[in-house]
Amino acid sequence: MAKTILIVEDDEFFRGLITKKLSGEGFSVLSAPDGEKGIEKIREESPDLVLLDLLLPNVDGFGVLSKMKENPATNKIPVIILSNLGQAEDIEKATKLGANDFLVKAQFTAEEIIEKIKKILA
Amino acid sequence: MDKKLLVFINCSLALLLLFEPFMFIKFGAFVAYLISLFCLLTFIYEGKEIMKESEIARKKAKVLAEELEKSDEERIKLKDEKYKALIVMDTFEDGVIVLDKNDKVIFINSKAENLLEIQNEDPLKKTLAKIETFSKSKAIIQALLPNLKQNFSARINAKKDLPLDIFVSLIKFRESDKGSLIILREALGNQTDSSKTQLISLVSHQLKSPLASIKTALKMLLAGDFGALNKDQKEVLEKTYIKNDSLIILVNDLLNAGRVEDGQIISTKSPTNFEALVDSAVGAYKDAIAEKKIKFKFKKPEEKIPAINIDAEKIKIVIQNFIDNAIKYSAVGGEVTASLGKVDGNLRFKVKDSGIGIPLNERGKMFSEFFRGTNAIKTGKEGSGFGLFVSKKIIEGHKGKIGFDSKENQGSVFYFDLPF
Repeated sequence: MAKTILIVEDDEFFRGLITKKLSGEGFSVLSAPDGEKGIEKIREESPDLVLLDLLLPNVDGFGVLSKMKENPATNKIPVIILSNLGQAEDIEKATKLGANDFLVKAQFTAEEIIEKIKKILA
Repeated sequence: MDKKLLVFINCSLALLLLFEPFMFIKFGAFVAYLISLFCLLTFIYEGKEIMKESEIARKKAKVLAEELEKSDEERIKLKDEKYKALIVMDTFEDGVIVLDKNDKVIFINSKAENLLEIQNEDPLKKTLAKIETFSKSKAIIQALLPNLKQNFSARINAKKDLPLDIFVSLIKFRESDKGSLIILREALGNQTDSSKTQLISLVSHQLKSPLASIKTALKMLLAGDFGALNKDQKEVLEKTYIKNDSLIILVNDLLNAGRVEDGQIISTKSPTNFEALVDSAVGAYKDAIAEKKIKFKFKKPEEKIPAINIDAEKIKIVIQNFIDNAIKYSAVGGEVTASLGKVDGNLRFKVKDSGIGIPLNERGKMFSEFFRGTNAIKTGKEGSGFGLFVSKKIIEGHKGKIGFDSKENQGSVFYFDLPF
């Protein structure tokens, strides 16, 4: 069965691109445009992996991360942070909160993102 | 005695004298007449004197009244002046405090109250030591207390992001009545700089997001995710991709330059495997290296380099700047060699290229902000003039050394040394 990936990202264009790329790779893709809906989707759909932006409306990425890690039903879902923030403090904070990997958007191509996802889900 | 009664007695006696038939009464009446006449004359004279005096008094009173009236005006004027002065002092951008000879506050303006954070307490007639007990900004008072009896100035950090210049000047109100004037001035220069940095930071973040989307979109178009492309379409997209990448680099440079000016360039240091750091920095350039057919080599050290305590993220920026410049200013098919080793107990990383080199007369400016070599500009390659400026700040932030050696049209070697 196809693995489900949830992408929580407010930039509609970027969300669409990643969705297309992931679908092309055979993943089943869900998306959420803000932190609040992200938390909802994580709880309801229990995806196999979450791609999470940090700067989000309502609840930011750090908030989503800590919320899902609090919940025993969702705290084992791997998370890849996909953000424009690339400061050491942000990476450290996200890692402490339980993120599996941290990718700076402008430095990684869609292929590299897919590679990371496949590695984590393998 | 009443003047009218005296006149009446006097007149009666005069009539008695004229018409009285008996001589002996006449004599007595005559004496009485003389006495009453004397009294009357005296009375009239005194009255005149009194009138004169009262006239003087009245005149005096008038002058006095005029004087008084004048001084009233003066007083109002003075009061008005004082009032104006107080308003001026209170509107002052700087905090102003005046102390008397016993170091008690005799004047304080709103700004000073705000800076000392004592809005709910009355500081008047209290010493600074006393005010310290209820001030929420004790750092200012603590800096002032030992320096009240001398002309003094210093810059202190009252709070984060609020550098404050404090000045104490001695003032003499009268002989033996001396006090101190204290000025608290927010270091505005830094504030402006900081907001400029904030603006750069904000704009850069806002730019980074769409640039990242464009990069992803272009990459996917090029990979054929939206269908096959013909040769021309592919070529245009490849050039667009490269232009977009140089914009991303520019925005990152701007962000870093902003941080340099903010003094926040170095954050947390941690033990780092330098070889792995170079590998990951080079990784970002594999497309550019392939495209320009650059012969790239990374000469790894013979002896193992121990982990070094650095801010890896920032050092990576320097490594990438070196590699980026080496590739950018080399001809197609040129050679770029990175190498890592130990020199005089320091770690040395260098990047050698076979590029355009640096003109002799421009070598002193290579690490200046916005500077680009004249020959570099002529190549038509994009560059912010920030890369080496930021690199120098980063290396210096690690107490290291940055430098280069170059021959125009033959190539350059850029290096940095970092202490273990």
